[in-house]
Amino acid sequence: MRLDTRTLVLMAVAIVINVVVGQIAVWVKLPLYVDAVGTVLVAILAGPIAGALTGVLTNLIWGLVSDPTAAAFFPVSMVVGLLAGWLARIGWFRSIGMTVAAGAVIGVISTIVAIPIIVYMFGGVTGAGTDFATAYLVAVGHELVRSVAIANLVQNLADKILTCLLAWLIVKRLPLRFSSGFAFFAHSKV
Amino acid sequence: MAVARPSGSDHALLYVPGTSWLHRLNPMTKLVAVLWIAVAAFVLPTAGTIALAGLAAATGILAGAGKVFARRLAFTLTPLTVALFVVHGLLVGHGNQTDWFGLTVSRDGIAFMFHILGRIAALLAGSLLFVTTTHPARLLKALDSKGFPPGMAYLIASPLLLLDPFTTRARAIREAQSARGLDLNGSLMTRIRAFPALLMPLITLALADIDHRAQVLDGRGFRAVPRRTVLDPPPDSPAQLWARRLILISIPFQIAGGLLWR
Amino acid sequence: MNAPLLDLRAVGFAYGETPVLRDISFAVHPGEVVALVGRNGAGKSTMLRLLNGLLRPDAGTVLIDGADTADRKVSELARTVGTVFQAPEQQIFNATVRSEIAFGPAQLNLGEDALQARIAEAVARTGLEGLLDTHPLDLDAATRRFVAIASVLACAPRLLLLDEAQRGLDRQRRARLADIIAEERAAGRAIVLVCHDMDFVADTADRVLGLAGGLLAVDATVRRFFADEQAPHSVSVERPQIAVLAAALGLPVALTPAELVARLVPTMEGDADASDH
Repeated sequence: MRLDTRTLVLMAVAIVINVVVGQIAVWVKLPLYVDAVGTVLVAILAGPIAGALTGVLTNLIWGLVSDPTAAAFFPVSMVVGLLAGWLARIGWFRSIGMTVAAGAVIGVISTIVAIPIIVYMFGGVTGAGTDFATAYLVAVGHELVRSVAIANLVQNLADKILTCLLAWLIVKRLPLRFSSGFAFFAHSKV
Repeated sequence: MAVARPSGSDHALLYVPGTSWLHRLNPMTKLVAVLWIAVAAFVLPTAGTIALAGLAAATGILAGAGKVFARRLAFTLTPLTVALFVVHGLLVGHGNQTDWFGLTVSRDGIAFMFHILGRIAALLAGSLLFVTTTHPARLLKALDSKGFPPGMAYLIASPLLLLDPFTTRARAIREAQSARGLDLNGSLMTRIRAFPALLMPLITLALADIDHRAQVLDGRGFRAVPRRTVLDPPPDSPAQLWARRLILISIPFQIAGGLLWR
Repeated sequence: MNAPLLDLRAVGFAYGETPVLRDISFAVHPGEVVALVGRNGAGKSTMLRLLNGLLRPDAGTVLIDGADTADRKVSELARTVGTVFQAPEQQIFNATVRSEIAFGPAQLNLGEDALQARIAEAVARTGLEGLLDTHPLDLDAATRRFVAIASVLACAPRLLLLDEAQRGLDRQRRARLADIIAEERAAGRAIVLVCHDMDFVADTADRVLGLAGGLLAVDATVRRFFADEQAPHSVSVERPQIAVLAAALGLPVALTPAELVARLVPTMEGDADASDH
């Protein structure tokens, strides 16, 4: 599948957006990562393959720039891109309500993909805030995998719903002369 | 991504300039070596992974990247150690419990903790060896000279180059919006509403650029042919070529050995 | 005499080890239009950021309406100080001109009616009628600048900071901007404009502050500044053509063609009288 130059440039920009948005989230002290906005954006404009590739490369770039072990989560980013693209194709990004639903679906499935990585590679912890929840759940008697799942699910749901909403907002506000150049975007136009 | 990230605004590469033998190795050789280390990290027992991590770190220090190694290893491993200790040492019911300063600690849990930490340390140290001694531009040239598709090479090079200008722009936007009354320190709701005001100008500016960039690229014959000629590819040698082949061949044996050990 | 709206006392600022501004003291009162001039890199943009709170001085105090900027948040100061930045694209994030203009006043918690009135007024003054539903980024750069100006005007700040707002504007828009500045002055607002265009300075400003070598080298009325040969030179700016011409003709300083003519006519009539005899 050959992507045209414009799509490639969009993807490159989206990768940078993924990285920089995380920085902005820190400025407003948001307890979420929101680091897949670019991935979902590309998925809505150019389809699932482009979206998935954007996600995977973001992890790669992140590994080169900041934390090589975070790159281990590339399957999660890939799934986010694929799902967003497939859901966009069936029109889930046309209205705000459906976008929230899309975020929920992506949140649940990406958590499922993340759990084996967290459990197997990192022993069930992430080194981040969700570990408090995980520890608490284990302490009250839940077994490890379930605790990891619940703890990360809540945060991931909020994160992905916000991410999809932001992507939707951005896409809605794009000047016409820009968005009309992406054929796949027709699936999400009202 | 679910792992903890640094809140530093420094988006400089992890690359540390230098002239060590590691720096001079062909990036492809280094990539293959990292792959070998990654497999070893999963296959070796705890003592092995810790030794591997130590070896990699020592090599990194010799190559001049000691500070980066120290910082990244500390930053990543510290919260993980704490969390693993609490979850596996104290909470999850691993066997072999013993008393330790009043806490009931599980020796098996601690062993597991070190098992995970060792593996991550080895993975991290291995990747750092690559990342600190290979400038992305050189990596791209190496990939290009081996026939990597130019589109993919662009997708790696361009984001790396755009990171700093985008971060600068994001800061300028934050200033401009604050000067218009945007409050970044309010209640959670205020802050959530402030988020789009910081994000949108950045993204719309970034997207507005795209058409122009695409035209410039096409005008320069981007992807007109499937392979690019590289004017100064990183030096390679028959020795390195054979080393890479040997390492790659050894990987299945590594995996088999690891499985048999269990 | 009314209290100064802006009062700088021995202000100094350095970027890391490099000093940019030293010992700057001046005051601006309501109803004054002050031009900030100097060569590129003289510290004019830095000065603007000290005035809207984006930067805090390393030495001295910046008082806005009597209160020290060091104690206030940028977003709080934004109620009193409005800035039109050089690159309005960095502020624009809404999809329509209307919502973009409404953003600033919306932060001020006005009533709905007051908000609409402010917006309508800003739109009328900047000539943006008919463009309210357009995406700001679909507009040309000059119109976008006016969208940024409108969004700042709608906040009705008492101190208005303009960073090269006149750059790249065609004649009609320049005139409109000059009108807006005059209106603000008449309404008792204070305006500080960073400007490289000395004709525009001569047209709109009352006073000139010139930066050179990190110091405030010049603080004079516009007339005095352009009458002097050395002063503009000391801050690396050129006098407007009209002033140069007036000086060459040995006449008192003129800032507009009309003034020059007014100065010339008596002289010419005087000569005519003389030649009649």
